[in-house]
Amino acid sequence: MIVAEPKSLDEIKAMVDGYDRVLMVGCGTCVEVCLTGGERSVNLTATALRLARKVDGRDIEVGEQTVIRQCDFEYLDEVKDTDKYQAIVSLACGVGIQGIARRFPNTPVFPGVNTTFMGFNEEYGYYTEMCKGCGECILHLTGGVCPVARCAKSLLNGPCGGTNNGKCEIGSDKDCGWVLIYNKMEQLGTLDKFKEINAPKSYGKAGNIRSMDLRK
Amino acid sequence: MASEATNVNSQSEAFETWIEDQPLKPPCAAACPVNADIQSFVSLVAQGRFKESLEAVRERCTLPGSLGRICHHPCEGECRRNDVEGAVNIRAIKRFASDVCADEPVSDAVPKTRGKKVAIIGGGVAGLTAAYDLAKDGFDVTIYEQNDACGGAIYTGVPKYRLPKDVVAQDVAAIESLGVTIKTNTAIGRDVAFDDLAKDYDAVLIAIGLTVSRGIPIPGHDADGVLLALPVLKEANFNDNVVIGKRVVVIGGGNVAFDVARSAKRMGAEEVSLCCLECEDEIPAFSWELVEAREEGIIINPSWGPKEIKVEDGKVAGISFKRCARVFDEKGMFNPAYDENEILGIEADNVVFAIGQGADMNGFTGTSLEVDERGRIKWDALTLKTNLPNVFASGEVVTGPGSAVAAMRNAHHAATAIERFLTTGTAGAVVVPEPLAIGRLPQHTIDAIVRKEKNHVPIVDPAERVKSFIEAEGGFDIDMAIYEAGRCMNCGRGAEIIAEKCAACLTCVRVCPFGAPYISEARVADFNWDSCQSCGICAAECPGMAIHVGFNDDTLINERIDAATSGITAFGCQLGKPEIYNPLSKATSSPPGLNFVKLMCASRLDMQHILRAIENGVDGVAVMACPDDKCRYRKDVNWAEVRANRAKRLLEEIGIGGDRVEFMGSFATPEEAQQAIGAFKAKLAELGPNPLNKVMVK
Repeated sequence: MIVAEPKSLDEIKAMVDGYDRVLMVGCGTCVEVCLTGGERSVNLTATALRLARKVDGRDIEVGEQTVIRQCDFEYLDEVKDTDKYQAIVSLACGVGIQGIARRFPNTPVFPGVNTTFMGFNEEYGYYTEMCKGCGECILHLTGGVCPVARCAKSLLNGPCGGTNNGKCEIGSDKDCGWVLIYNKMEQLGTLDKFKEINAPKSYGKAGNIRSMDLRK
Repeated sequence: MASEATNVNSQSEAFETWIEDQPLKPPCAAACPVNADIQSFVSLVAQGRFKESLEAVRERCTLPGSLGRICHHPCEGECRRNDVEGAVNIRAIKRFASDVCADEPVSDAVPKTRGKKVAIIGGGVAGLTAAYDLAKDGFDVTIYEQNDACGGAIYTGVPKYRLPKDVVAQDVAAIESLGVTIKTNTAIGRDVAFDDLAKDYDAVLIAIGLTVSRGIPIPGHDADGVLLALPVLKEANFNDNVVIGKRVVVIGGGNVAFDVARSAKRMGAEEVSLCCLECEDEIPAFSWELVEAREEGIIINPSWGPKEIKVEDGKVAGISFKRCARVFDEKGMFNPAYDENEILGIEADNVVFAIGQGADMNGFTGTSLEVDERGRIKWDALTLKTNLPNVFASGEVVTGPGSAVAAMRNAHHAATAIERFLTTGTAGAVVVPEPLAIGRLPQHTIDAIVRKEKNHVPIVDPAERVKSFIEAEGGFDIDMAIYEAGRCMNCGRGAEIIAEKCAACLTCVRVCPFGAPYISEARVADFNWDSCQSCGICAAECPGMAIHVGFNDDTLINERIDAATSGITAFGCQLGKPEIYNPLSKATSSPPGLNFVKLMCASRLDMQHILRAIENGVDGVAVMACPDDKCRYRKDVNWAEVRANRAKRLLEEIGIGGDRVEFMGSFATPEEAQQAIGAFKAKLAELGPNPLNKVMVK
């Protein structure tokens, strides 16, 4: 799932400073699940924006809508009455925000959240990064633990010298990905493969401007 | 009409059937013979909204003060708290709602919009209930009552120590106030001819009850000192100087027999025995009657049948019994068998027969009303009709003896039948399917429920209570009533999913302490109502705002928030105490400058509730959450505090200031609460008014 975190109210307020009527659009998929972009977030952010502007002495009208996904045109077609608003604030991941921008090309679109990572829902309100979208999955070689996402240096052969009693040198609250890999492979009885050197990945596959075509 | 009837085509053209709508009910309401909306009136008491609670009771239980004392409360038997630590004391809560509003002005009359007149013969439980329903529905209702006041059996029969007569009068006055005409001291056949009523009124309901006690023609039955139950009870109720012999034997094992025995004790009898055919386990009276009678020193002799009354000088001297070997035969029919070899003799000054009652049909002799070979009204249990097109019958006169609330149930049906008849011109069957109740509490939910011991009402010590007819059972005070009402778990009134908004994100599943939410096969969240406690934690966390909570509906909460545009708005558990009871308004109310928004649990508090209050212009928001050990819900997280802190941060960002939100605990007394509120007020005074109020808005 794509995880995003809310932008500060000050940042949103600054973005819409020149507008009196904005539409805030939520996304009912990933960012709703991570409690950042669903109907509740839209409601709270819109209310907060309205109140902040009131405090400044300038009213702002904030429309509130939430669609199932902002990464599909069909769902974006459900966004209504955009002509009533001067700008749109999207509470979706970067994909959805761009979706809105493409669907409503003549309206300025602003991000209401910062898209952070692809993560796992550990428990209520707590998410951890699990995947970098590198384009060449090697989880079969690493006991089902991703070194690209879960090692601070994305080392393919680790750990490095910064491993510290199972924690990473960048912070004592972060597990060392390679210790996790070692422990998991030990549990699976595949430690003999641990010493095999993993070949360098083609980072071309992790490059920009990627697309996928399954139509053929 | 209390319940909307659906007109359904029946197979017979002349015969229509009205099936009353019966949604899935909580077990208490399903078990209640009148399906009273128990959770609503209990919840209203918990919120300190006593007058509204009383009206909610009356909607189905038309005599709240009386039934709050004498109802045999099958609701409590089914209460799911029985599986935790004890049923909610529903009857006592109902009584409280009535007692606390005793001095309230009666309601305004309901306009008689239907243009039809209904005569009700008999102002007992059934007659009064039908009168209530029909008057509420706009009919012009007249009750013909032969006694000097209405109430029927609960007025003349039920002893004062169980039901003081001013309570009955209070209940009757409320029904009269709807515009019902009550003609007391008016007997059918003596003062008014039945056939005239049937002609003069659009519909007539016969609800005369069973007013004649039966005796048994055993040797000696006509001796001086042989009495019948109902006259004894009537004497006990209305003659302050009533006396009875020192040694009294009561024959019978029903509730009336126990009323007689316990009354005899209060009338001065020193030795009271109660003898009945049934063995201990079969005694038909309610179990608590046996307990309380024994506490009062009454000797219960089960499995004895009366044989002969011993007479000396024309007066009762004693009675002998033969052993009753069985009451019912193999087919379950009443068919007692005796062992004449085993005899029990008891010396007595009075013998009282309390073995059953019949109807007094004298007023109907020679009229067009048809009776069967045993003198009973010819009556159809489905249509509640007699042989006459516009004459209906209801209550014990047709159903036979039963509980007061059962008579009430039958009378609701009669009112429906009459309303339908007067609306459509056709008689039809009133079919009320047995309501379906939600299931029992699963063990994992029982484990998660915080124990809250049941509050019992005070009962006068047996040695003291037998000295007079003072009411034996006391009622709740306000604190007890609110506490007890707060024990209700609101079964089946909790969370509902708005499926089209649900992202199946699992938030509800993760935050619920009771394991109620789950992801259904349709891949959306759903709620197991057997487990849901209506706390509302899930609704306030759901990122899709896809959860509706029955008793904690946002519309209702927002209405309460919008009641204040200045001062402080406080949110908290409905059992919290920042309020003072106001005897004039019959409700608890907040001190000036404080708008207390009650929630089922402070965990229901949503950040948007806080923002809404601030946007309305209040200077500050106080969040009052019970400490974990006092909370009625198990809390792994103090959600109210979490949300108060989130709101503080957001208000800081907005520029209004996080200090305008203060998290407080709950308070044992209103004084404590006011002290804390006072300190918060002082802090807010330093902060100055809500900036939203001083800003000119374009």
